[in-house]
Amino acid sequence: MADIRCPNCGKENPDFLDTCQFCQSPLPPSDWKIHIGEEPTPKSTGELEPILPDWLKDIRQQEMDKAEDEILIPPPKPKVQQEPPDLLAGLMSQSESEEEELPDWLKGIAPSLKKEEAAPPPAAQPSPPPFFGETHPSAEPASTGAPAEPSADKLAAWFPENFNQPAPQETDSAPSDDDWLKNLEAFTVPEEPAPAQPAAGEDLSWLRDLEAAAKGAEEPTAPASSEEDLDWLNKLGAVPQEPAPAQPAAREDLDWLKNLSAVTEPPTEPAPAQPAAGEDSDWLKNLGTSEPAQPSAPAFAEPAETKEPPASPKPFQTAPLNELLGDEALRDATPDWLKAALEEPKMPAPGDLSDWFDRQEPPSKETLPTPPSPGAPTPAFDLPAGDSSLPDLDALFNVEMPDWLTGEPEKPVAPSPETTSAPPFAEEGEILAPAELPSWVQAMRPVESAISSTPSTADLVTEREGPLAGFRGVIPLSPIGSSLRPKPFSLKLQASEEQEAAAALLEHLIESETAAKPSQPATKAAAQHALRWALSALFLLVLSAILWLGLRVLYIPPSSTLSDLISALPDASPVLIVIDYDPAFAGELEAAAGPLLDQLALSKHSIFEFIAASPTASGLVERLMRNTNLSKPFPSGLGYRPAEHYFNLGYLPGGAAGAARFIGNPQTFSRYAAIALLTDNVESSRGWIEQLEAAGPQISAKPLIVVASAQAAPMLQPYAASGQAQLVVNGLYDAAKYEALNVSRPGTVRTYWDALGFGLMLTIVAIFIGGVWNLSLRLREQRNAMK
Amino acid sequence: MMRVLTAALAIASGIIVLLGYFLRQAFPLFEQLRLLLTDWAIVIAAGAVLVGILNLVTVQMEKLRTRQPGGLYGALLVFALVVTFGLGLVFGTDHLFLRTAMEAVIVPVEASLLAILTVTLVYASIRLLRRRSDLMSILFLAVLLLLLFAAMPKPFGLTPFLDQFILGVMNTLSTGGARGLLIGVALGTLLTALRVLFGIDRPYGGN
Repeated sequence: MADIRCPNCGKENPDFLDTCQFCQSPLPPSDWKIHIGEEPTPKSTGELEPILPDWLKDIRQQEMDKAEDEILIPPPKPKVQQEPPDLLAGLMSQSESEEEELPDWLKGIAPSLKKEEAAPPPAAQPSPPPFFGETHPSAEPASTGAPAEPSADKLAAWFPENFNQPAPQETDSAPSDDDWLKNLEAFTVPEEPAPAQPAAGEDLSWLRDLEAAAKGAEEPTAPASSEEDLDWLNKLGAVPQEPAPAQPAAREDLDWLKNLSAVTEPPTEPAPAQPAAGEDSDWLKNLGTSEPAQPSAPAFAEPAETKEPPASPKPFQTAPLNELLGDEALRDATPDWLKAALEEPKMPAPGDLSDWFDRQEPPSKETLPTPPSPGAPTPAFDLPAGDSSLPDLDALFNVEMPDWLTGEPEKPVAPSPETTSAPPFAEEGEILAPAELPSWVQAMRPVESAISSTPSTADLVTEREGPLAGFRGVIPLSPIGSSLRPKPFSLKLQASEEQEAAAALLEHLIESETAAKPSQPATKAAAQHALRWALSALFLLVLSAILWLGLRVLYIPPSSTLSDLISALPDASPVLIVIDYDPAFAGELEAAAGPLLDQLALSKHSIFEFIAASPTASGLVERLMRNTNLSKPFPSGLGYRPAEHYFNLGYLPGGAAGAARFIGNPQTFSRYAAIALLTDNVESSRGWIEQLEAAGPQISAKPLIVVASAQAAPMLQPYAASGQAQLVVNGLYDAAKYEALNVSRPGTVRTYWDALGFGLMLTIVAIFIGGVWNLSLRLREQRNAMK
Repeated sequence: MMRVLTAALAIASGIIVLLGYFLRQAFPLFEQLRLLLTDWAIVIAAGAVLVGILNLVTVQMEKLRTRQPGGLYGALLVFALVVTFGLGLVFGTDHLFLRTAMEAVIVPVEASLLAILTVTLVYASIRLLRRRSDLMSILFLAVLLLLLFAAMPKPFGLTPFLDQFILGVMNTLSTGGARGLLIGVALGTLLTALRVLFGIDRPYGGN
């Protein structure tokens, strides 16, 4: 069972309740709205009439009883509201159904009705609205004034007698509310007899009420009936009655219906002014403004003139049924369905409703009301006295006139299996299905836009959460139609703990990379610079002092290897001297080459041809000859002169290729008695050695003496060990040995030898002391760190 | 097309030089071609020196034009280069001015760099144990001190046993290591030559 949320308290209520069981506020129907663009589904609820449960019928009966009671006492407010719209919904279709027959009671009431049904309705003539056609089938201008309050006791007799009589036309109508009825006369003045419009609806309770009232009207209860709300029925029935006294202000919204009959009655007497204040049917005033009202035209044609079949007369005033119980004649004449109304209501109190459902027996065929015949005119409105659903009817009229009221009556729609509605209350465990509204009832439901334009406080939902909690009528925080919206997804990254730990580690690494390293203290930098300056100053002072003093205290072991090699060379032969060192190594290589050049010049008188393997080497030739005392004049030097004793061939570009090309010319290269290579570069010296070896046996047989710096000599030792180079002079250390054997000539190595010795000694001491000190500091730091 | 042409020229030149080496007696033409190609290589290498000098001038002038830091030193370098180059072209390399420039500027500057290197190496050796006090660092410094002590001139000459042992070990180890390096260099050079001859490596471009 679907629940309905109370708009006031927000609690859930069963859908069969019309008021909230918690706060007693009215509950909106579950399907009370019709959306824009939604076509009302035609429903035929006529078939619901036969299967109405007894309790509902009892409700009707109870309402009739209440109507009787209201004659004497004010009607109490019912707790459980009925559902007249649903029940009324089938009136029209039911009346249009040709297969059904008029109920017996209706036949008795309107015997001529069936005869009138035979007349086919004119196709071209617009038929009057069913409502008025049915309620005033024999309406004709009445000569007498309509009684403002019909007598109930005459109503029962009026029914069978006045179906075919012209309805008394009430000349005077309400100044405001009956204008619309005048306008409606344009629709209700067919000259030709209109067919009996079968009133759709199965709610025949109003007839019961009428009959009961008619029976009760025999009792002299006219004064009491003046307070009855169904006095409009008296007017509607156009029963000539005495003018009623002035009516007080209408207590209910159906006062306009009271004036309804006044339209059909000739205004013989001025009707008492009907206050229209508070009525909701003002809109009906302008219903027929498009077409001027024809006051002369009767709202409801007389049967004789219009030849319309007599529609079911609307009973207007009924007497209390309780008063008729003792009348046996009336009891016999009372139809079966009306007899039940005289009995005690079977419908329990609203509080005992559930228990009543449990005890309720399945309705038998005898208890079910006889479905009305298709042509049976049935009232369009069931307006029992004291019916609390009257405001609902007003609400229905406030929106739109039903199609059966304004236009052509709809053809009876055969109930389809889909549209066949289940009984409101299923028996024996059947599932209760919601009632299906007929089309015209759906059309009468408030339109969504109209609802939204006139919101009521009861419809507004109170916000429960958010900053607007407690306010009513605000846009709900929860999105409407959230199912149509994309589901929100959290933007927060779903990561596991391990992933978060890895991300944190990566972030830490990146931060450590990008973070600026703290600069070292200035004291340490200053200490390092001081140490550097101290070392530089120490070496400068010591070496400068040794050189300045000219110490020759260190021992030099002599060696004869170089002398033996030189002694094998021919005299005054040209010797190729390759200058392959940079100016930075000029001091070392000049000292290392001194003994070689001195012995060659002194003992062999060799002619030197210098060729430079680097661009700057060619400028070192003169420096070499001068620093080795060869170019110095005699007796300090040997007096070698350029272009006579030595030749500077210049720079030989191309590296190994240049060497190969220079060596490849055998005619020019074969004249050299020996090749001396002064180098500090392993690569270039390797190229020269290899190219000389590749130049052929004649050239490779020439003695090759390599004078290398201390850094390049170890790499050239293999060539000396393999015989490709006859001798490798390893810097100052070997040069000093050859110089010592050469009577300490030229003496350059000897000058540097003590400085070299003391410099190495100082280096060893500095490294040892500094190493031990720093090692102790390091160990102390580690020890402190461990602590 | 250029790619194939350059590769063909490089491979042909290499093959001709090789044939000139190995078949100089049987085919003197290859020897002549080898010498011709070698002369071309020497000229191109000499031109490369000039191209290098021109590039140096361009870079320094760009620094001066864009007012980059050190642009003034670049201008001084270019000025000295132009003056030296001009004087060398006019008076030759044996001119007194060029010899003075060589002996008074180039040789002392480069020699001072070696002197600074000596002090830096000593300082680094002292600070080595401060930064790394592991066994290898200590062993390295110990070996260094022993070699320096063995090679150091002594007033009394070489010690009979220690110096001979140290120098013998040093020569053996250094010579063995150097020989291994040279063999490796020779094999690498051979492999590089073969790759160039087979067109696998194209240092001349065209890849």
